[in-house]
Amino acid sequence: MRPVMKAICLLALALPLAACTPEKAEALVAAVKAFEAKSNEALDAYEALFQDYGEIRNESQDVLFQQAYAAVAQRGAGSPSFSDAVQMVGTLKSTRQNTTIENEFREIRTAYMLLGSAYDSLPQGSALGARHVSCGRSAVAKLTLQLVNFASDVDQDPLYPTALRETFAEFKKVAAKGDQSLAQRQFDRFYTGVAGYEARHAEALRLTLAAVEQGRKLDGLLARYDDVTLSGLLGAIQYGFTFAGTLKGVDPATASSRLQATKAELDASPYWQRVEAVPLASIAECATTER
Amino acid sequence: MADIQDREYVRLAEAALDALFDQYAAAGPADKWQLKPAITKATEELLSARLALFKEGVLTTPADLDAIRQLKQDIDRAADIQTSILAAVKLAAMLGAFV
Repeated sequence: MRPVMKAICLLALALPLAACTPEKAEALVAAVKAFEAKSNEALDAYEALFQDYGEIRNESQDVLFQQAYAAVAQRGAGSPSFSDAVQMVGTLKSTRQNTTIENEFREIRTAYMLLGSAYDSLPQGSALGARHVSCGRSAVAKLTLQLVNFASDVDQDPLYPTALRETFAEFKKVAAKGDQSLAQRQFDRFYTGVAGYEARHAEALRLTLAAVEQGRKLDGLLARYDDVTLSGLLGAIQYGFTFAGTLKGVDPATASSRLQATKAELDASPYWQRVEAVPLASIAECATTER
Repeated sequence: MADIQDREYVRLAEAALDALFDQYAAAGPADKWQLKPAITKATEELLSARLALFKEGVLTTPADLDAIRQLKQDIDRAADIQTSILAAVKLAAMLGAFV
């Protein structure tokens, strides 16, 4: 059982239904952590898609030797430089590229982590301040909308792996030469690669939809925090997990249309339009000034 | 969020990269050795541009779109490997300007 689910179950068993403020605060922390966990699952999926988008296939040692040998034979010993050779043979470039992606996603995740940590100290406090609820609500809404925008970006322009572009180019070359057997093998690789990507693409959308639903629930709870009961809070968290379960097996086209419907709904809402204008930096302020 | 123009820019950049992969596939071993580093660099810059688009959008202009359309035509018409290498280097530089 995941830690967040454990926390929710323990809370449900341990806390009386007519909860006082510290217990509600505890449940709110669990709800925020559940949103953070769901968001991270979606971000992990996008990070993996970007890794493949930026990765060029490495040629084998034999092929590289043939290329280097032909380059020297054709242009003389001065032609292939040492730096070109290590770039072709070595792996430092791709390592740097992966680090770039990791750094970008680390920066994105920081906002979700800050949101979670902003609530850590709440259960020890005697009351949940109105400013804290308001600040936290803005942060949750901003991050929820950001997830919708991330998914919309990738759904509009899918991140088909670069290796697939190379495979398709090779297929065309072989087909143009009339080698049907080799062309068939290349095309099969391309076909399988496209299907594999699209399954991962759909999974990223499903994870995003689940995180967005959790975020919208949390936003709604924070909007009327004073009136929300403890069981209402726990029910909302539980609903998030049930909702994620209903998305299993949803096909890519349905996931995409559900995402578009969610985006259209948020884009048309004056509240979410205001959220779009909230700077991301305000989340860091929320975490540092409200504790 | 990225606007329509930004998306068009990235699609043109991807089409330019596809054309470079076509030329790489058709090239002989010596030309492949020469062309690959420039294609790798263009791929890296395309990745960075897509990451920027994912995070907050990039700011392209109509002139940027014209320039990348022209570059795609240059790649399609490239008569020799040196022209392709130059086009790949230009593509990397264009994409690098947006991140």
